[in-house]
Amino acid sequence: MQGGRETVSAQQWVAVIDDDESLRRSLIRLLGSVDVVVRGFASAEEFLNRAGDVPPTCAVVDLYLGTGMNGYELKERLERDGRALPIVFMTAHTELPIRMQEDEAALINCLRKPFCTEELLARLAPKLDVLRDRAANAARNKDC
Amino acid sequence: MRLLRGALDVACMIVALTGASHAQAKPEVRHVLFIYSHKASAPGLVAFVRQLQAVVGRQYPNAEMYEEHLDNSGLPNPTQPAQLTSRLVEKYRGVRLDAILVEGTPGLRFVVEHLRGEFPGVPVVYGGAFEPIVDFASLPADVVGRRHPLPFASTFRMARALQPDAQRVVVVGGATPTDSLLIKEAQRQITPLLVGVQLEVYQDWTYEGLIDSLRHLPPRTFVLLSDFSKDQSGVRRFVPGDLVASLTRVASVPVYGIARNWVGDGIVGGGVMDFGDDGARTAMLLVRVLKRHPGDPMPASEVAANELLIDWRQLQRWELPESRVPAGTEVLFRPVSPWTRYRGEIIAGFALFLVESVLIALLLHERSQRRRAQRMVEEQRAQVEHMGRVATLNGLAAAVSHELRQPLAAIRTNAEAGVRLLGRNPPDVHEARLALQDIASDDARAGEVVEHYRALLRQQPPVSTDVDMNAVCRNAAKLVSSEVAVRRAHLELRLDPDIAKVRGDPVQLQQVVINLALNALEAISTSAPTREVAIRTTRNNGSVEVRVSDSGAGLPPELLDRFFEPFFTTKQHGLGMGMTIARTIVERHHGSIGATNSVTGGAVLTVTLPAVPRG
Repeated sequence: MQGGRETVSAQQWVAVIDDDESLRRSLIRLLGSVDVVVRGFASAEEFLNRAGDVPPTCAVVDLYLGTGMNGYELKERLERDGRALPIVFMTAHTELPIRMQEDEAALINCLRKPFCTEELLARLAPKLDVLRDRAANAARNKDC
Repeated sequence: MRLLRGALDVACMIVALTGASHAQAKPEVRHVLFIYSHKASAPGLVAFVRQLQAVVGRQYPNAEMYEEHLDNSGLPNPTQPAQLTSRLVEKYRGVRLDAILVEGTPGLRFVVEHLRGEFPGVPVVYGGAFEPIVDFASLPADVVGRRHPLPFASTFRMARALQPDAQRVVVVGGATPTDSLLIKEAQRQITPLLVGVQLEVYQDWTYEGLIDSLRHLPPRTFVLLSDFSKDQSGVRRFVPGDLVASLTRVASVPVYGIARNWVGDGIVGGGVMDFGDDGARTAMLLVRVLKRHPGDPMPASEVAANELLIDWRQLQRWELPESRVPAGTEVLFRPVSPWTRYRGEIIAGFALFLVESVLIALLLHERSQRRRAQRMVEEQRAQVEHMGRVATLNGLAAAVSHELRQPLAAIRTNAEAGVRLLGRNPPDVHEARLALQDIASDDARAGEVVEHYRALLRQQPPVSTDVDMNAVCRNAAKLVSSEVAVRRAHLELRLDPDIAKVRGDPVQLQQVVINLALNALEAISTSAPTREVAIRTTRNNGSVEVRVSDSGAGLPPELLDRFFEPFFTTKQHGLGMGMTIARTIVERHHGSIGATNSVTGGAVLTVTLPAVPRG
């Protein structure tokens, strides 16, 4: 585990934002198992305050995050601040935030829980050096 | 009645004249002039007005609403705007208007260009106006409202998704000036999307000719209905809603449209405008305008959100596979079999069962252990069967699904991460073990969820035992927590630790609290700045009181008495049985239930149950 992380480029990392602690931990474990550097956050606010100076390469974000800002509002906020990120959304609900319903790009990048992890990795792969080759192959070989 | 109203008016004027302090103490009377572009019978307007008047009536039970309909087509000598203006000025002389509300694009134009100048200082609120037909940017500051983006592009995209082999789209519109502007906008929106599709516009038609053309359209075509109120001959005039059913009946290809009230009349669907919802929201805007203190700014104008809707029966008629329905689309009129209605929940349950099996294969090798696991699987399967019944608690169906999906997602992610960790060189056994431990605890969590809901619906005779209402409230709060999350509301529990026990069935009493909490959650709009629901218990002399309050708009006073009647509902969906069930259960427990509004405006539902004497 540790050995794997040392080989990774220092700049690239993924933010996992989900208020469900167990799911957050499982995603961190999953991404760690394929050598992606990853940090977890329990809310959009925590991410905004604590992510630090080096922005993540991309983010995996739950749509409904308790009483705070929702995942789609976080995306809009980052875009407004000129800090737009590639985001893969996840949701366990059928309802979508109203403005998101018109945003086809966001709809395409939204996974319904529970999802196939290869599907998630395949969406992150184009952005992450460590994943690019292996996930593309795996997605082709595995039936999601 | 009219005399009485007149008397009331006079009384109000006297109140207004005798000073502000007096006026504040009395219930406020507001005078609003409603101007509608459409005829009173137009289906879209019927929906709009019903919602509009419900909301305004709730806030201002004694508001004076004057109504004018502008559509005078069909008259030999239609009134000119200038004439109409002077007639209205004459008619409403002496009425101190607090606001003018106007529905529809033509009406908005008339009010802005002609009428407003005659009523200086009277704010204007508009709804149901189309973008970009009106130049909303140039409206004066005291004209605010809700505008609808015309959903031609989204409707076109939906049709293309359902019929990827389509080669031709026929846009049907009408012959009035507004109709023509709509057609232009449709062309503007659709043209960039025409890849391999040919666009045809039917505008110069007669009713008979149109029916005939639609009957003989070639395959790989679809029709997109715009708004229309007059055919080319000018002889026939339509309320568009009336025509939709006959057009869709004869059409040889699928027809799509742009108004929610057409869904159900034979169109497949579209990115539709909901005029009923618009009525309610326009009314809320009006209420905010009326509640303004002098000097306050006008509220901001709003843009209506259109929704993607599809009629399931039309998918069947045209043999369009449901797998092509775009994400985020609501499918209406699906027959209600347990499978179609609760498919999400049943699949979630089935997935739970599958994951369980995978888990066993991963974890257990010894035979005795495997047998034990087998029994677990069988129990789980029994639970899955119960879930059909679990889901009959309609309001909670979404919650069940959500609460199972959460641990299921974690289980699946952990299981797949575990496989990867063990496949590493060398295998990361430590981390894989942690993954398996998490799987076990998430599985327990999923089991608990199922258990909770199952208890609610277990078909057992009611029991009579000493019940702690604080525990009941805590459990109920847990079961509605995902509804709370979606609405981003805050649920507060204020439980008096000193309350006595009550006698009864804990599961039934829990059902009461859940129904009250769901009702409260539905009353608060997701756009309201504060979204709060509170559940309180208090000790009383010889009784226990449970109060559920919300920060919504409250109940119309005249409806407070009817609140617990069967089928009474203020919601568009739902049967209105929740409160009746609550009352039945409470009365079976020799208690009482009542509804009032709090001083801050929200509804308060109070359940009082006799306490078990202590000692």
